[in-house]
Amino acid sequence: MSAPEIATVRALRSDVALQIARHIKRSNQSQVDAARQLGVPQPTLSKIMRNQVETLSLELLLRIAVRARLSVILQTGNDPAEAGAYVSGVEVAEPLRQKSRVAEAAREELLDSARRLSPEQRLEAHLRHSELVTSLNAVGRKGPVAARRKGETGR
Amino acid sequence: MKARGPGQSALLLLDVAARLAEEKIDYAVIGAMAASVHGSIRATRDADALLSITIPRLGTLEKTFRRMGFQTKLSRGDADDPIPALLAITDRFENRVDLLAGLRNLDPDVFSRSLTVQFFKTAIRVVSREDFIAMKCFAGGLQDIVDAREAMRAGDEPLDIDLLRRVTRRFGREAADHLEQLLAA
Repeated sequence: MSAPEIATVRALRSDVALQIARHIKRSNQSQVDAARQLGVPQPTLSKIMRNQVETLSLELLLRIAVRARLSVILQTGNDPAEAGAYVSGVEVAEPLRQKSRVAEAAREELLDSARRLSPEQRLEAHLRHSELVTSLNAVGRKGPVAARRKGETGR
Repeated sequence: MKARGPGQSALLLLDVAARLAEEKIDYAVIGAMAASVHGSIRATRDADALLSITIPRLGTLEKTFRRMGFQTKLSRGDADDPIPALLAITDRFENRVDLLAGLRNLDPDVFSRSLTVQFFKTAIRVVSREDFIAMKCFAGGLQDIVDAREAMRAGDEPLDIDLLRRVTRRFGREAADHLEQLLAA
């Protein structure tokens, strides 16, 4: 991107974030409640509140603004008389996706244990895991046949 | 032959990678093996690698692997298929390696960015974390998104966000949307 492109996107990002932050402050909600209501993780909202939005896309910020029912008006063009303006409608907030903290914590523990391995150890673990799963699949395929041969019910 | 039984597609890949190195063909391991390197260890029945190769040369390579005693199957993608051609190599234990002759809109620097990882005292080239996440966002399936998310969370080094966005956007709007959702999480 050229310098003017970068500057434009950065300025828009910062402005949209500022408006979202103002809206949340005025609503007197906690960040946790607001994040839940807007369907974003709390750390993302925290970045917006601090205007540290360089890792967030303009598109995401616009989506959050729409979810917060903020009007978004975008006018593009050199001549104000000719420039069309987009005005967002009032959208119904997206359904909330509830994540299980317990499941997330368990997942994080697994990732932590993988992080402690070197890449080579992870590949060896992958190989062992694949061997094991293939063996289990083979047992699954052969099991009922072997059981019938022995005159067993297999249960 | 390094593979001595079923479930050892990763070892079959070592044989394949050695041959690719002899033929001076650039490659990068992708799929579940790359997922394991980047943090999400899971089983798979096959190993996958991306090649920097023309389709005619992939045909020649097929004959080479057949002469080595493997079963092979070369498939061509349709005009709208993101994979132009795929060479499947199978050994007598049904271990399988899929070699992909590129991927539509793939950044050609993907091979130079790949990492060298030691595996059973052999150096193999594995796709970089940024390229891995981009490809997973492009694939877009449930498991793909899980792999991408875990690669983002599990890495020791910070991601190059600009590079990640650039390589993902090459794959189109849907891939870019998946990425933005992951970055925001």
